[in-house]
Amino acid sequence: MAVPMVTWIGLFVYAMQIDRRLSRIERDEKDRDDL
Amino acid sequence: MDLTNGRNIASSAPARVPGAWWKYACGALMCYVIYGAFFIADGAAGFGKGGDNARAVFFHVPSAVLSSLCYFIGVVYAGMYLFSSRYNNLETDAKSSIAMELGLLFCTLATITGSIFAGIQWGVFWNWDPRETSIVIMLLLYASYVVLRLALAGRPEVRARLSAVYALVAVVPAQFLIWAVPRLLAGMHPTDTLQTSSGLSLHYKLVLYPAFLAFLLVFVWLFQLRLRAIKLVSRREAVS
Repeated sequence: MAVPMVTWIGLFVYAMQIDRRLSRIERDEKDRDDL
Repeated sequence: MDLTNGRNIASSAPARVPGAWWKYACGALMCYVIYGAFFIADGAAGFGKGGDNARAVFFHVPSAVLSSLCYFIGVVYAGMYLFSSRYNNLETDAKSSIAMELGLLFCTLATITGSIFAGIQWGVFWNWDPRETSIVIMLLLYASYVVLRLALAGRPEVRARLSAVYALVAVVPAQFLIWAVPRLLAGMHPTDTLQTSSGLSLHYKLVLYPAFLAFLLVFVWLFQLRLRAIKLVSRREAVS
């Protein structure tokens, strides 16, 4: 169980990081448009 | 004149993830599925390693089902692109391509998990069983779609039209491979072996049904990430 669990947690954290970075870029783009 | 009101535009503050609650739920649900596959569901009679090999069903079956669903979604968006004036735009094309790419991902996962199962069950990782052969052809169909799009990367309109046509044309052999071939030809692939006289056991339902939901949420999340990334890139290209 350890191998699939650790693999999944690693992928999940990675996907969350990508999601956060996309959110930041989208927010920066929106701020730029607002200006 | 300071139009920023003193705000630092290039913000380094952590961004909030939109809809984070269901993404964390997806993460937790998949952890439950992995735990349940090993500790909630029992091994099944007739499977290798004392019945433990049946646990592959919790990863293999949802992957295979998602693969077919992805292909169906890709075909629907391809049809919308070609036949609807309202959806005849590059965003619809992007959605179709994302679905097909994720279909390739899930088809690969289904192939790998199935191969691992075969290696444990029958001692050979690949037997060219009708199901195994049909999934290889499905992989080639998906991969050909991706290669077609890469070859036309510099011509988005042509790429969109040709890849939509390809998806619609390929749907006939794809459906034949998914549904007809395994039923026309006898093979080694287990069918209904986990069913008891009263259907699937409760322990298997407690893990398999959440597994379907977890994989579906993973698909939706990955689809959303890819679409957002593509939109940002195309927006930057339009500006520059």
